[in-house]
Amino acid sequence: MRRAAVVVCLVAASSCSPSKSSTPPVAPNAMANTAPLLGDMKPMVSVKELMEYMIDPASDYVFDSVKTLVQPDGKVVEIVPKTDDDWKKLQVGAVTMLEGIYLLKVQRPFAPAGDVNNSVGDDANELSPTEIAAKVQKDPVEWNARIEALRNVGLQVLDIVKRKNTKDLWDATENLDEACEACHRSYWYPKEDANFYRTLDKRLHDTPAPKGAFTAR
Amino acid sequence: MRRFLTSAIAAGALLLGSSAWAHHPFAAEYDANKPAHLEGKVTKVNWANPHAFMTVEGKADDGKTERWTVELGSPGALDKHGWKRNMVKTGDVVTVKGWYARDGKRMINAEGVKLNRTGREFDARSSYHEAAAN
Repeated sequence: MRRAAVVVCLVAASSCSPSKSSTPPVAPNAMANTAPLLGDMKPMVSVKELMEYMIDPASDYVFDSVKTLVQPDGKVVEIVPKTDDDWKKLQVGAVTMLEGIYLLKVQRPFAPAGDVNNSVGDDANELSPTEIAAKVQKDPVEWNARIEALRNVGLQVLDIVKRKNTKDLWDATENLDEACEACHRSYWYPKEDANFYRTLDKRLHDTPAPKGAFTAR
Repeated sequence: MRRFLTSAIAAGALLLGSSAWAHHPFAAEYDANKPAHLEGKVTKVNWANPHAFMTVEGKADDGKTERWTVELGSPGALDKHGWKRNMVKTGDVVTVKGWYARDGKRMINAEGVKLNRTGREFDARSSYHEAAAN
């Protein structure tokens, strides 16, 4: 029974795992998958705080590791990790992300007490913590699959660090973007759907452009 | 003539060049009731995930120079819309259509960008936006 559940989780995880990978994810340490916990896991912060103070800053190390800058003087600069410190920073991001995301398997509140997200009022577009909890309760397999998808990106980045291979970094940051966004669209702001964007597009196209060389507002 | 807001927050946003959160709902940062049209000179482009950014500069109605940060889609989404990394150069004049930030920051979430030099318009939305809209 338990084995069947694990298989379901893995299948679901692979279905939403990043596709743009030139190398397979590094296999996690087998011992880590079988050894029992040495003690209790007690959550100290909500999912929202875990994301804001751990996962999101960790992901910035990865996102910021590769970019193309067109500078004011017209010079085009490609930013990639070059020094040992650069690679170490990327590794810090990947490790924090891939281990930190597993803390979402520890049940915890979705937001601090009293925080209902932007879930009430005219322009409410976010699910409330109660709605998110109900969604996860209804389909924990999806929740776990989203977690595994992000973890896979962390593994991909660790593999890139190991090989010091900058050419795969763009794919990794794109995979990271997709893994984050897929989860957020499902649990955080699913109301920003096709109708929402159609309304936006129509409003924008129906608004005449103002006159002026540099016009704003 | 309308005077533009200046604030420490806006200056901070320019320095950071991106939102505090790598990912955010559209409505958390941008106002769906404030369509934006902006024409100015590009002074900087930052191609990076999860969003590319452009800095656009020009003179406001009161003669003062202003800099606006324009949030674009991800580099992957922009590639699919026909953008090239060397396409927009500093000094190019662009016309941006999109949405103003809801808190007075000088930021725009771009729906489309016209490169005035060629007259060609490019979709600037993220792939998620596009996927949801179709």
